Amino acid sequence: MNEAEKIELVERYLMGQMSDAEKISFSKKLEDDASLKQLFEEMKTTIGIINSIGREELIMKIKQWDNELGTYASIEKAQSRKQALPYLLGIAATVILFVMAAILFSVHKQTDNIQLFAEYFEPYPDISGSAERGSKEADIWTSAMKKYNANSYNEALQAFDMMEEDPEEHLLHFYKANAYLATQQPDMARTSLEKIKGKIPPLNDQIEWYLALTHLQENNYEHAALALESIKDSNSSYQRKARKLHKQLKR
Amino acid sequence: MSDALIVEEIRAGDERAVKQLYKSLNDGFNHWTFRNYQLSSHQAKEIYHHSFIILYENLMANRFQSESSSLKTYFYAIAKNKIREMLRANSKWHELDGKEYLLQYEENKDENMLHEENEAVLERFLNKMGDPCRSLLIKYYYQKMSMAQIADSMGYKNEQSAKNQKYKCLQRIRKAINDNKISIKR
Repeated sequence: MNEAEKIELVERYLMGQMSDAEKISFSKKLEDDASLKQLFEEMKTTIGIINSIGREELIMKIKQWDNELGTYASIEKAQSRKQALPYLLGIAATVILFVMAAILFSVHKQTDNIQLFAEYFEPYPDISGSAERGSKEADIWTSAMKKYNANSYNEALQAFDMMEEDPEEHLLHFYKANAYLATQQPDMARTSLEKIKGKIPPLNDQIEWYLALTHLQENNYEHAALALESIKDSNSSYQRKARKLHKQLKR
Repeated sequence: MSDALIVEEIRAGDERAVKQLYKSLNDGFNHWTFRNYQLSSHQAKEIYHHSFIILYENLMANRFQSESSSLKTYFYAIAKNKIREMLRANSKWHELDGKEYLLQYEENKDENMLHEENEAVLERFLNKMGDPCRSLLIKYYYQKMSMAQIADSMGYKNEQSAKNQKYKCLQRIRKAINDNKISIKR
């Protein structure tokens, strides 16, 4: 059997196109043929990742359709108004009960989540080397990133602030957000991240992840949990981290 | 337009048909989730997205039979399952002991990290591979389009030409795995 035939055979198995009898025969072949087994593992992983990429593309399209069609923007507004009144009294009563419990547990919970933030937050590495800028701006940027790379985030922020505010300067906002998180300024980090959300496709996953961490640093556990849920249910490159953090999160 | 025709268009790779279905199924969905399950709009949106992706994947894998139910009924059955899954997960969430999870994770930490890194390297390679490989492989493996449909949609002379191109793409991937010494989970 040549390589092309082997690939076809493995594909038929992985794509569920074999009869039961063929599956049994294929399993036996796998046990006896190390090279076929190696090919099988490679194809299984490859097809799994291609499926993730395909699904990720569909998710991106769906989000784009939501924006184009206004599918959720109007519904969310209408529903929030509709839901608010009947539940207002119930919520008020619940809030009173939970405030007492929350006071008791908040200190402990906050400490746990601060530790979690420290465990999961890592400033994003500098990938900005090839960015094209004007000469003066280039110098400031280089100097800012030098400070960023040296973990001198306050100094990096001062240098970032010397740059002209350009709405298209997405990378600037991205690294500023990281520096704000590193210096425990989550409100500023959130503002920077929200400016670039959805605007740098290669860094979409990163932006969503750092937004979740921003909520965590702000002690906004509900938003952190929702953001992490969204990441863990997507095909984000942070899916596994999000799943782990979501499970560890104390709400 | 009949369900069978919608499915046929979607299976042929027509994105407009997918978008049209996405829009049409959304009518009344939030109202239904709120009335029956008291879901928030955020939860409804999540459920809608997940359910639609499953519906799409099932359509492409030919798992939907228009003789047995309508597309809408089929979609709502998927959504109901997703909602139950979400509600079960939420109750488990509160029961889960964080320390227990950490212990489980720590036991497999090194192995998990190695596989995650290797898969991430391969994922980066696949993402960078560009067209025609990227589109062709997504159409074949994820969208489960036939080689004839792929040849038609990507402008190949015939099915065999598309098949040859797919083989070349897979060889590139295998070479990348070997060149980068990516260890695949066994």
